[in-house]
Amino acid sequence: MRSLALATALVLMPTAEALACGGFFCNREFPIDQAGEEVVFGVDDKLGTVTTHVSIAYQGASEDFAWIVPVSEQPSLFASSDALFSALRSRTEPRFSLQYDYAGECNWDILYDDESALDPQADNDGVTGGVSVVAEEQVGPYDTVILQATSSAELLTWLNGAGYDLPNTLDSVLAPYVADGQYFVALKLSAGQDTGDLVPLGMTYRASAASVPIQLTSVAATPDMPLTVYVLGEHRAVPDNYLHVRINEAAIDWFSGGSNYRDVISQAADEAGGHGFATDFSGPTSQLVGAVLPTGYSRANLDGAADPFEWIETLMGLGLPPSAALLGVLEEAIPFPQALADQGLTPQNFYDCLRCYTEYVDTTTWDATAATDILEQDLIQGMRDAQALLDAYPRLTRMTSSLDAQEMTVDPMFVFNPDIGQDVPNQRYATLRWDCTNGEDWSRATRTLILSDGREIQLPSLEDTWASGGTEFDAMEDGGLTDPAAIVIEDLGVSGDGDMMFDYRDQAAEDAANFGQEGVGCGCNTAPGLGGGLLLGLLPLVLRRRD
Amino acid sequence: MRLLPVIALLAACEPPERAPCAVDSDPLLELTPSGVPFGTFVDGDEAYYGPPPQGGAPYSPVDLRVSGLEDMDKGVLIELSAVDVDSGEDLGSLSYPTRLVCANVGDSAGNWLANDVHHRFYGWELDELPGRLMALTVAVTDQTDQRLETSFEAVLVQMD
Repeated sequence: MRSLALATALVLMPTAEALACGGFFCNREFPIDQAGEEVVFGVDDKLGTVTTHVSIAYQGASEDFAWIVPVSEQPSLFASSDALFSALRSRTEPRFSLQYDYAGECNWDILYDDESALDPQADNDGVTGGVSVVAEEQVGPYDTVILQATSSAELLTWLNGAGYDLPNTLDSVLAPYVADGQYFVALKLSAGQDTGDLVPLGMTYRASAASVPIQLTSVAATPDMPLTVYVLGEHRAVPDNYLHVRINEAAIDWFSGGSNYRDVISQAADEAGGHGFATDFSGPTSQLVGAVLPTGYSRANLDGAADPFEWIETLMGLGLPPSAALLGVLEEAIPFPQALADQGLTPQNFYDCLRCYTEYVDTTTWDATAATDILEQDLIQGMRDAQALLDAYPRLTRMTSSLDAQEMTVDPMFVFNPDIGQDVPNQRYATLRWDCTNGEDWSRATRTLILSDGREIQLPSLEDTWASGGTEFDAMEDGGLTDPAAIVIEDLGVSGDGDMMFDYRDQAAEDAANFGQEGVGCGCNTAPGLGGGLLLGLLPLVLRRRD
Repeated sequence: MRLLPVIALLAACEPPERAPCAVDSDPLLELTPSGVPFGTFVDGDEAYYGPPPQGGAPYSPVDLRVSGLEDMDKGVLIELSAVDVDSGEDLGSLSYPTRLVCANVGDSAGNWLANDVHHRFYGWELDELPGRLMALTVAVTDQTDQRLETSFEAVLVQMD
């Protein structure tokens, strides 16, 4: 049944692109979760238009690829660039860093006397009728058609008749969009194209706000599917018909670099009734100059390359992000030798170290200008357009949510609010203060986690943490500090500070102040299998270390 | 001297609980045009409508507040339907499942709130609606099939 391979509007299957690491195709940025939906909006208030870039990820047979998205007005379509998404991800992904502050003089001798003390494991082994064709055209690798319909059943019949082979369950999901008089953009891969040729789709249409047609996504949504929205415009963007959540920083696991951030977002969105967005980043796009297309790019340098080695090294020096599109360019410009494939090498291995395979590279027919033409046409032009998109707007806002299929009942819409704080950094900090004013050993020092909102959370010493069999975050979780995930839930709009619906800040401050006090938020570990018996068993060990 | 923290480690930990919305009153569903404080709207007052920014059928935003029920965060069905009081014409209807949020601040503290409920005038154009007296009925049904319904009548005025 082909319907399982359906890629509907904005439905992005998790795609962790497996790229070799060590050269051109090494991920040089922080590891970034690419699962979920990503949409970039450019909202032009003066023109009354919205430009949307939708990342399309799909796993399945090329002939089964089908993609449908409703749009309020007839759009003009264009092929977008993966480089836009990878640049925005890397520049705006929230990052959580712990800074260290030492009060007094910690005794670090134990580090050298007993190295096992550094290894928590030493004490802690236990430890995804009426359908009209408005336009048809080829856009990038896609055959596209824009439709209008008077009934969802007829629309579905038309699409299935045109070879889209969609499931009948789509009928009820399409119905509200048909009732709303929306246009439908449907894509298939053109003949000769395969799924490796997929590129994001761009659309420009008349509208005054950005909106994600999430109801259609529910057909093939994964549980707790992340949804990341980038909005370019004059001011900071906010969710209009969804709630805005401010994350409880105590819910972040600072000791693992915020690795649980997605879970926190998911919980916070649930606390907002399943319809909530957190702001990951808001800032001027002046920070994004050269983010997609490096400012140092000049084709003249490439045109002058004497051979493929010089050409690819010049290209590497530009700092272009690894991508399927870049790999495609390289394979066309400098063909990957079959002899190396027969030896089990991958194209990535080859291009990461071209000089390692000198004898396999044909330099006799080298044409730098022709190679650069391919690069320009297949990659650089898209990057140039994407960079121009960023440069055309003064501000970028990135917002994240997480939705289950049953929560995809209302299409989220985003508006601009000039009245609230405009800047939200994606780099977040907390401080871990070690109190060694009495010359304690570092492992016995009192530690305090200081959050940006001023909360000070007294943590167990490292030794006590190890003795508990858990982590600092476990202690905070058991003490109730990590709940709720949303410390504020608010209803924001086009102006003003919005209406606050839920505010846990005072209570959270009180919880933090009480944490570590006897009997309150005591930092114990109540995880199954780590009960009192184990803790009692560790008690003599803890006492022994004090001696 | 270091025993106390360890004893503290052994103590039972009960995470603090969030204050629930009150259930000690009769179930009540309140409805008001968006931006109009609950309890102040009088039938015959004006309600704004306009084109939704994302395009499509005209909409009118309303606010909903529920009290006297529990577990509204586990899911409710919201149904909206509107008719022209004078002509009896159908001015659109829709329904969708959602979850409500228990407010703990402001005038609605202790009540369940629905965020930005939008009635959509499917099949109508903007210029067909001004001046009509609309009767808007809203129903909320919880997971136990307990259904609350309320309505208001408002003169439609197009927002700027």
